[in-house]
Amino acid sequence: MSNEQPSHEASWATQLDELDKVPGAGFNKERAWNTLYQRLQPKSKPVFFFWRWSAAAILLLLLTVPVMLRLLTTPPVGRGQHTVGATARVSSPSRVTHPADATASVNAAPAALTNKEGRRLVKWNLPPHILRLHRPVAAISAGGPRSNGPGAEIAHNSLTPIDSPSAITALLPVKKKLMTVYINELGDPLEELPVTARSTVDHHFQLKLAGEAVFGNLQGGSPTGGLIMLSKNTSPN
Amino acid sequence: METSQLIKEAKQGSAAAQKILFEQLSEKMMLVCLRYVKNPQDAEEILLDGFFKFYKTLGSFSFQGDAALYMWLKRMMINECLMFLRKSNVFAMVTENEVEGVVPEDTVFSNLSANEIFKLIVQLPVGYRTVFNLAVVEGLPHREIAQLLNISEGTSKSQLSKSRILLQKMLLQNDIQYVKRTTQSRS
Repeated sequence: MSNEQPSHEASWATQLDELDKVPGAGFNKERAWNTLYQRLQPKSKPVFFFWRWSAAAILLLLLTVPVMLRLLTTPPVGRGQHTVGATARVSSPSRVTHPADATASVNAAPAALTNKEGRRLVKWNLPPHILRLHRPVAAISAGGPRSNGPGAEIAHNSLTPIDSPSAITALLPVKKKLMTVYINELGDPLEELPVTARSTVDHHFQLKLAGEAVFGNLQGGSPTGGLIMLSKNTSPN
Repeated sequence: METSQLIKEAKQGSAAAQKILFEQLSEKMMLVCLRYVKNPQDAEEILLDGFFKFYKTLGSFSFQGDAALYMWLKRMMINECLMFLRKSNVFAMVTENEVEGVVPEDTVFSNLSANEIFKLIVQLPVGYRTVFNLAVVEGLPHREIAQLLNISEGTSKSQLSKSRILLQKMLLQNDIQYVKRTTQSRS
């Protein structure tokens, strides 16, 4: 084995360096340059991905935060709030788990709602667990006047929580306002009259003569034959 | 445009200057890659990797003439080729048991053209080819070749010797007509 370089090999390096063309199929410079140029360009993918993910996160926040705030700030309906006729509306029957919730699917009268929460309750479809927290209420009309004072409205609706489904079905829906009944139409008209007037229950009129009360009796069936009988008494009888 | 100006503009990131440099040097560098890696697709990939590194490290390059630029780039390409051979695990020392044959005269080798030399080298097995390229074409000493290829100096010498014998054998077997023609022209 000889490691000495033969004389012909000395010229091989020079000959190979002078070679300019790739033998055979050749070499496509343009295609190779395009590939290299793409590699040399600064990659914008990470920046693009960053902004895209950031935009998606911001959009998600903008969508979820108002909903969450509304859910958090909405007080529970039916606890110390008199939302007349306000009832929960269950949007999907498949989501209802309690029979009471199913029967509570009643449209509330928008006109009867008195505050924002009541309207929200109608608009928003609350999930079943929230519906269970907000117990359904029903308007119970008063059986009679609660106030004895004149002109007092009997349009008083008390809200009581309903525990049984039958109670809800019996009472709901309430779409109309309750009829306003005045005390004068049902009660004693003389109830609020002055004491002097009240004392003439059995007499038709009363006169005051010289500081003394004079009572007249106009009853047709009297023994006086239609004459006006005046009596000077301190009391009608 | 002069090469120094091209280098200056390419350092500043001018794509036009980079393209002109690529067009001027890519073919020669492709030949270098093909001498080490036979597959043209692999050679082209290595070429692109080498040029990519060349443009990225151009800032630290000080232009001292066209020859220096050529040598610097050629060295980068050779390093890329060696890296590829190591990665692909194809760099194995081949031992040819029967490399004996008729040793042609030096005149036969000296009459070979550059293309014929290139084709002969490419036909060598990868181990022989690499050592032959580094020792004969690049002119590296065996110590350096041993370090580059992670082999001993003795292995490097042995591989070079065997590659020479194989080249002679290949020349006689594959191109016997050429030998005959050369012999006839001599006589």
